[in-house]
Order: sequence, then structure tokens, then C-alpha cells
Amino acid sequence: MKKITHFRNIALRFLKESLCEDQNTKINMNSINKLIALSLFCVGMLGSSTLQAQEFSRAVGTPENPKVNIVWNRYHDVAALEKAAKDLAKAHPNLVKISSIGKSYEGRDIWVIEVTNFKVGDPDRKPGFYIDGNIHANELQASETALYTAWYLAEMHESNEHIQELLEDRVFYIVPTINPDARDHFIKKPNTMHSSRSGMKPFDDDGDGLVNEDGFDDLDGDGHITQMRRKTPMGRYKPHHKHPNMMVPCDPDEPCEYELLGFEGIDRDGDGRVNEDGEGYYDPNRDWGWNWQPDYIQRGAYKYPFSIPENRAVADFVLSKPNIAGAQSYHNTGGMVLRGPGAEEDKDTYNSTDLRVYDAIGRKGDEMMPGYRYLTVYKDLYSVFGGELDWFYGGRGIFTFTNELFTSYMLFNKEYRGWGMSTEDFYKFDELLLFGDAFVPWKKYDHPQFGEIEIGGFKKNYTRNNPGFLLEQDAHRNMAFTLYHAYHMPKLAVHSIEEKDLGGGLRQITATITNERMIPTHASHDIKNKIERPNYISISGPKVLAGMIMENNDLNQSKEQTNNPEKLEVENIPGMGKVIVRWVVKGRQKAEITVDSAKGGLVSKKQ
Amino acid sequence: MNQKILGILLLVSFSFITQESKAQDYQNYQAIQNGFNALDRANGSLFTTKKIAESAGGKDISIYQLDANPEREKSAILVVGSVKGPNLLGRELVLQMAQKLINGRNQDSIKQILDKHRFYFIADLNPDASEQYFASLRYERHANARETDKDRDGKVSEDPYEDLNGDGMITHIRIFDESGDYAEHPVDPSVMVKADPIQGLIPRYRLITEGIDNDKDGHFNEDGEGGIDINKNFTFQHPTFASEAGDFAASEKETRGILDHLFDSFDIHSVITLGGGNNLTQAFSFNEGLANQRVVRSPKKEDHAINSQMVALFKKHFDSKTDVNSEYGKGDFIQWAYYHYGRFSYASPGWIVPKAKPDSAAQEQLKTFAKLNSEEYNFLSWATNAGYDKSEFFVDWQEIDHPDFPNQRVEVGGMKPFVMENPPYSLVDSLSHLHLNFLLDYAALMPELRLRNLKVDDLGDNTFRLSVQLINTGFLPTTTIIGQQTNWVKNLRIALNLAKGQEVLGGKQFQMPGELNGGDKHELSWIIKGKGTLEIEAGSMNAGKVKENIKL
Repeated sequence: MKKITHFRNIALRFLKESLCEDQNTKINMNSINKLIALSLFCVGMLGSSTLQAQEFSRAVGTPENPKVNIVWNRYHDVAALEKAAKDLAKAHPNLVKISSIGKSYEGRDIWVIEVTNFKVGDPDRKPGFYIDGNIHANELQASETALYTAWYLAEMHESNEHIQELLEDRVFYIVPTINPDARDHFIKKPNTMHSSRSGMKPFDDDGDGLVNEDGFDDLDGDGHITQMRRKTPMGRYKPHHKHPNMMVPCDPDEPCEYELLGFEGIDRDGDGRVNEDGEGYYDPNRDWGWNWQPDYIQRGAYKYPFSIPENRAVADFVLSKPNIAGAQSYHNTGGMVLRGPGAEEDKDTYNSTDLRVYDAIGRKGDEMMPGYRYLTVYKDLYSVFGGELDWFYGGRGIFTFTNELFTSYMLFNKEYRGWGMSTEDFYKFDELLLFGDAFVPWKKYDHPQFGEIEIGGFKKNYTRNNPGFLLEQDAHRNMAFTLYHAYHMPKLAVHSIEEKDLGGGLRQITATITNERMIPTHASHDIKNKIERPNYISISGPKVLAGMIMENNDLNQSKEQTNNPEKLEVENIPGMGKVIVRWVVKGRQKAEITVDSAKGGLVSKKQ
Repeated sequence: MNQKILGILLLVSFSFITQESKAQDYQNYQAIQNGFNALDRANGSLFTTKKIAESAGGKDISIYQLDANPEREKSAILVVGSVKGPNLLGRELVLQMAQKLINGRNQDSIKQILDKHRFYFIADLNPDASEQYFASLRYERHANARETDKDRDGKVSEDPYEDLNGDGMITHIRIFDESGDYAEHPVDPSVMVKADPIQGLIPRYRLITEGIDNDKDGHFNEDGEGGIDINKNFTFQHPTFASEAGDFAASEKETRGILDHLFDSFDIHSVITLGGGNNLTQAFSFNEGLANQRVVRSPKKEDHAINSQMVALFKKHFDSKTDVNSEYGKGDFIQWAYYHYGRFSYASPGWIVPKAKPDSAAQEQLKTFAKLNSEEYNFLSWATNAGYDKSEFFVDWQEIDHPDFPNQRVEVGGMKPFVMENPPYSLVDSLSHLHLNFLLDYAALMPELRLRNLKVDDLGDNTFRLSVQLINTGFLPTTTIIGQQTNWVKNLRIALNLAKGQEVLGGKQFQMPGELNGGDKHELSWIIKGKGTLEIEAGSMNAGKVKENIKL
């Protein structure tokens, strides 16, 4: 007994002094064991954090002393992403849990980082926000942006009230990479900046019956697939006069000395084509189950919706979490906040009621991310079937954006009018700010089919993926946009319960249910297709004689629900809006009103 | 297993299969499986089984391969049985056709076909649904065994059928109600027809399926046992969110198992379905505009022309005076096989209720109802003319008390489930003959690649010009137009496999010059340096291959 008291005193002293004291935690004084465990944990943390606290001073908006140190100017391979996720879970056991949602084609785990305040409420009943990245394997920074979000939420929680509020009533499901096989392939194997978007399921790209028989060849062995050029009489290209690394077309009447032969490679199967059947081909972002179309209509589609195992894992996860009310997928490149529809044929799916919500959030993105534009996929980009964002909204009624990270605007804070207008500035940026690190200089090579050629060009990690020093800022701005979106998922409250005596032992109970945020519990597309079950607004306590939804409370217009009136089925609680319900009851018991909404959560209030 | 016992079992099963099925009524899932298993056991590598999926209810879905020389590359025809839940006929036909092909494999007509082509059989795409015929409560079921919320109200399977008259099957209830929209048939008042006051068919009844509105939502039996109709779960025009269709295409493991297997079966040239859907009494409808849209929704013109020719071929075997419209629907198998799998896809309804000739008194009565066309009345007239008793197919209306209609007269009765989809079992044998003959005729039209008019010009100095024609001597093209566009049909490829020291000086050693219609050819020529024997290899995985050695 004496020993325990001693431990308790030590524990209390440490807790008072320790920097890791959690102000939101109400410590149960009777729970000795918990206290001891907590204090021992704090002992461990104390040494390092006090030391660090003496060395660093806070820059606003960033944790000066994170428990998990992550360097935000480089890219993580799959093992490094996994380690970061596990470190976060270990360092923030009350805020971060990780689990695998399934396996990739090659058997890698697909990790989801669940971030919420686990000490408050049931996480499965909080409105959920889903974030993923890297569906296209070469779009690395998508993972860092997702991981940054998990890290930031966990590390800022202690000191920022907004984050505390977010994690109290929302849950985040963050999957940094949903294409781990091909992410590692992109990082570890020779590739271009565009290869590949795909996953690693073998595919016969050219339909000749042979699989992956003619991929890129890293002829100079530098780990990058760059360009081949050859000196030739009457070539049509020449080096740029200011940026000699850059090849530019010659004037129509100008004699020139180079021809371009495409990306590094050899015709390995003798069919007269180079690099036409390597790893990949199918596009995991043409594989989703809303208005899916086959490969000859939508290039990149695989066999059927979710025939890519990584996507199936995501779909199964999302279907298992009906609380998901908002979603974000990260891609590169071009500085875009994209909403659906992907396909022009789907333009009526996105109706005006829902578009008002999309626009309100998307336009905020324009302001928060200089150089980014809020666009509609089919109108402003290209018309495409089977995209992830279309399934989230079309198939599940979840408001979803896709952000295309990194934009040439970030090179010199300058807008370019069209695609490819910034090419010259990519060379200039490499020269002035990257000191040539993004370019493999042209070098002679003896090619078995083309003879003497030169190999050189931009490395695979340039033009689409952020240069290191521009990564953290981009991740932060995109995260902030996503947190704004997450903030506006439904927040329900039983605003008031009013009672009126009807005489003869009967009472009329009127409850006003509010949604304090922009996103409704049911998108109007959801209501139309009955995607999610209705909200249930129930009364318990007194005996119910009749129940009704008020169509106009002031003018006493109502719609009765005759079957099971205790549990009213309400198709939607609109964003920044309210629903009024009424019961006629018998008996004097106090009423308790409960709102049970798949996407809006569970709230109740007693009279 | 003890070898001796196995031997005895093999003998027993062999003798069973050589006599073919002798069932008296439609067989349940297990009996059909047993029939195929017996073929597998008795026929070595000629007939083999591969499980490709398992239904939600735990039943295996297998593909059976009939191949007289499995080591040879050849094109294949897939024959599929019941794709529609209440269809029991299709899988019986498929089993009997497999039995008949094997038993007749030494007849010249069959031997020649088996030499050139492989056959695959799938008996039933939705065994959970068809098994309802054999359950204690018999009703026409389309849904597999995965429980879902069919009416999307948040409650799962809360409003099934109820057997109100205790006869073990689900028919209909009719409520005497002038606000209903059904009337009595003018000749046979037991048959309900859509009311049409202009023709004098005055509304007198509401007609709904047998049961109670358990969840009081105004709909009857809209959310019963089970979940998804596999024949609405394929990817072409998937009716997302419709009842029994699934929240997205290929949501069911049956569908996925079938698709995964078939997409990897590059040898399949044509798919013939016998239990659900019909484009053999009338072709898929054609609309040039829809055929040329980005999202193709009509057959391509050339493919449609071949469909029409196959209708003519089918009618040669299946002489039916009845004008039967084609039948296909969103998310179904037969359209998937054409539009998304890129194969020739043909479906026979299996059986068509013959057009019954009413007696003269009835004809007189029907004169004033020109527009009246009741399939039920026709069926019952045909059945009674053919000597069947009406009670085999029809439950007489019988008054009951119904809790949802407390003060109204309600009767249970009507057509028995399954009877209009599946003919009396005694007809199955002759139907399987008809379909087998159609299948053999179809197989004889399959593409056949031949190298013809081979010519070698000696150009001197060990240099030769080699020219040859690659001809499709069959009637059908090597693939559909859709097949030319999808990655899931392999291209026709021509390769010159050179001997050591030989070199191609002119022409392409490997080429994919495009598909060949029946009777069409590619002219090929190369300049080769070096003596020796080279091989020309030409063809595709779904149209067969041809190889020839040439000595230079």
C-alpha cells in the first residue's frame, strides 16, 4: 500500500510538471494503474521534449516540437510511409490508430491512419472524412500531403483549439498511398516522370499476346528514363539558345541537326515499336463503380469496377464506414481543385443544390492556394469515366474533390496561359534554383538499333513532383483546404424541444434539429437515389400517438408518418438549415430526442 | 479413396452418362452438378471442370471444358445455361448438349467440329436463385443469397412474400377494387389482363404478388429474401441502385468470378446463352446513331448484319410461328458478352410457348379486343389444347382474409411460378436436340485461317521473296467490330520465325495487319536473306492459328 502511494505521488508530480500533460484529459484519481501507466509514458517523453523545447521557437501554424519528426522536403518509399504512420500511432495513442484496409496486388498492406480524439465519443459515429493519395503511382507528393495532414492534426492537437474541435467531432481516415506496389516501382526502378500511373498487374498493352515484353530500357543506367536524340541531316530540332538542355523545334525553313527518338529504350520484340509494352497500362482511376465504361470507350479501364485490388480495398473500406461524409483524393499536377462529373454524359448527376455546396468549398480553395483553380473535370480537363471522385459522389453521395498538386505557378509565381507554356521556365528554374539537379546532361550512347545517339533530359522526379523546398507549403495549403471541407461536414444538434399542453393528458412536443455546417446529411443526388438510409429522429419517454415532419411550422403544415411514429424518417437535414418534427404524446414523462444520421452522427437531448 | 471402389464408381457413372439424363422433372443444383461431374469422371482430358466462382449461398459455379485435343491452340465457343434466376431449362439444355456431344464424338459431323474447336459450358450463373424452385416455398426468384436492402429504406429483407393460401408457392392476390387497373380476360375470366376501358376491359381488380405489406410502406413484397440478380449485375448499362441490381456493376462475387475467368479466356470467340435473353428470334435492335456514340449502345452495323444472319440460321432449326421479340436488359449477361467482352453473343430463349389457336367461339369473342394480347391466356390455351390439365399451371382463385384489406374481397390464385419460363419437362430432350443442331451449324461457320498460294521467288545470292495469302475460309469474322477495339480480344498477329542465319531484308517480321471477315485475306510478302526452314505463324487466340514451314 505504501509503495502504491509513493508511485501515486511520483505520478502526480510528473503529471504536474510534465510538458506532455494533456489538458483535455480528466484524470480519474481512483484509477491508480492508469495513472502509473500514463506517468511512466510521460517520463519517457519528458527528457526529449524539454531538451527540444529549449532549442526551437514556434513559427506560427507549425508544431515547433513534434513528437514525430518528419522532414517535409523529400519523398517516402512505402516502408518509410508505413514507419511514419506507425510512429504517429505510437506517439499519439489517443489520437492516431492505424490499420490495414487490404493488400495490394503484390501483397503490400494498404494502411489507413485514423485520426480523431478517441477519448471523446464513438469514432464510428462521428462524421468521417476520407483522404487518399497516390492512386497514380508517379504522383508521389499526394502521399506526403496526406501524411502531412495526419501528422499535423496529431502534432497540433495539443496547442490548437480549432484542431481540438475538429478531432472531437470528426474522424479522419487517411490512406497516404492506395497504390503502394507501383509507388515503390516508380521510386526504385528506372522510370520517366509519367511512368507509370498504373499498378503492377501485368498487362499486354499492345495486344500481341505477350506481356510486358517491351518496356523502357535504362540505357545509361542512371535510374531515370530520359530522352534519346540523334544528330542527323535535316533534323527538325535544335538546342534552345538560352537553355541548351532544352530541345526546341526549328523554324520550317531552318536547317537543323537533331531528331528526337522518344524515351530511352530498345525495340525488344521486333514489332517496329519502342517501349510499347512495359509495366502498367491500366489506369486505377478509371476503375470506379459509377458509370464505369470499358477500355475501348474509356482508355485505362480494366475489367470491371474495382477489378484493381487496391481500389477494391478502398471501396470495401468506404462501404464499411457509412459515416464518411466528405472525401479528398490527391494527385498531381497542375494546381487544380477538381470536382465531378468526370464525364459529360454525367452532367445531370451533379444537380444545382449539390453544386452550391461544391462551389462554396471549391472557391475557397482558389483563395487558399495561389495558382490553383477550381475546375470541373469534364468541362475544364477532359471527359472521363470511372474516376474515383465520381464514385464517391455518384455511388455514395459523398462530396469529394481531387486536387492536382504542384503547379508551374510555383516556379516564379507566374500564371501561364496554356498547357506547356511553362516548359522554358522549368529549365530556367532548374538552372537558377535547383542548380541543375533536375536534369541528366546529354551524353553519347551507342544504341543497338539507332546507332550513335545522345541520352539526357529531365529526371523522373521533376516537372510533376514538387521540388523539395516547395513540398511543405503545397502540402500545408492543400491540407488547410481539406480541413475546411471537413469542418463543413454536417454538425447536428437538437436545438430546442418545445412542449404544448393539448389538454386531456395529451402534449405536443416539437423539436428543432439543426445542421450548423454547409454539407447536408444527404446530398440531393443521394435523396434521389436513396443511397443512404434516411435520418431517424426518435422520441423516447412518453407514449407517442402521432408523429409528423413539419413542412411549415409557422403555418402548421405537416406530414404525418403513420407507421412507427416514434422513429421519424427524415430524408435530409440540409446544410446551414433545420428540420422541425412534432409528436402528439400521452403521459407526463420527459421526452428525449435522438437524431441518428449515418453521415451526420448521433446526437440527443433530454427535455 | 480405395482404388477398387473408385473403379466401381467410375463404371457405374459411365454407364449412367452414356444413357444421358433420364430425369422426369427439372433437376436441382446438386443433380445438375452430378451430371457434369459424371462427364468429368468418365472422360479424362476430353472433359474437365474448373470452379470459377462461388455464389453468395456457397454454391460452386464451374466452367466445363470439352476439348478433343487440349494441347492444340484453337478457338472456343462458350455455351451458358440459366442466367435468369427462374430459368431451369437452360442448364438442363447445356448438360444434355454436353452429354450428346460426348456421346456422338465419333460421328463425322461432331468429330470434325471437335477437332477444330473447344467448347466451354457454364450451367447456371445464379444457382442461389434457381434453387428456389426446389425450396419449401416455391417462387420465381432472381436474387442471390446475399441479404440486401432492396428498397433502400434502411431495413434489410423486411418485406418478403407470404404464402397466404398455404399451397407452398407464391402466385398473386387480386383485390376487388374499381380503382385497380386489372380486368378479367373476356374468354377466360380467371386470367387477369390490364384494364383498357376503351376496349371494354373495365378495371375491377388490383393485382399484386402474394403477401402482406409487412413494413406498411404501401409496397408489397418489395424487400424479400436475398439480394442481387446476377443478370442485372454485369457492366453494360448497369442499372445502378435499381432493385436487385447492386450499388455498382460486378458487386457480386458470382459476377466477378465469371468475369475474371472469361476475361482471361482469350480463346473464346462466341458466347451462346440458352437461359435468359433472346437475340435469335429477332436480332438486337440496331440504331446507327447509338452504334457510333462514344458510349456504344447499339451493335455495330457489321455485327448487327451477322446477328440477323444467325437469326435466320436459328429459325431453320427452331421453327416457330410465334412472333417472339428479342429480350435483353440493362446489366445482363448477353449484352455484356457483346458490348464489353467483344465476342459474338447469341441467346436463345430455349423454349417459346407456341401460339395457340383459340376455338371458334373464343375467336368470335376476341374479335372486339384486337389489341388484347395475353401471354397467360395463350399459354393456358396451348396447354389445354396439348392435353395438359389447367391445374398443372394455374391455381384457381380462392378467397382469403387479408390483413391489409380488411373490408375487401381478396383472392389468391393465378399462374404457378416457373411454368411459363420452363416448358413441361418432357419437352426438354427435343429442345436439347434442336439447340445442339444449331450449335453444330454455328460451329461450322466459325473463322478458319488458312495460308494459301505460297510462292517463293529466288532473287539470287541466297535472297528470296516469300509471298503468301492468309485467308479466313470460315463465314464468321475473326472477331466482332467491338472486339477489334477492346484489349480483351487479342489481335491477329503474323510472325515469321526465322531459322538461324536468316534475316528479313524487306517486310515486317512481326505484324498485326488487322482482323479478317469471312472470305477475306491479307496479302503478305517478305524478302529473306539466308537459306533454311522458316515458319509462318498466323492467327489469333480467339480465331485459331495456322503454322507452316517453308524451306528456302
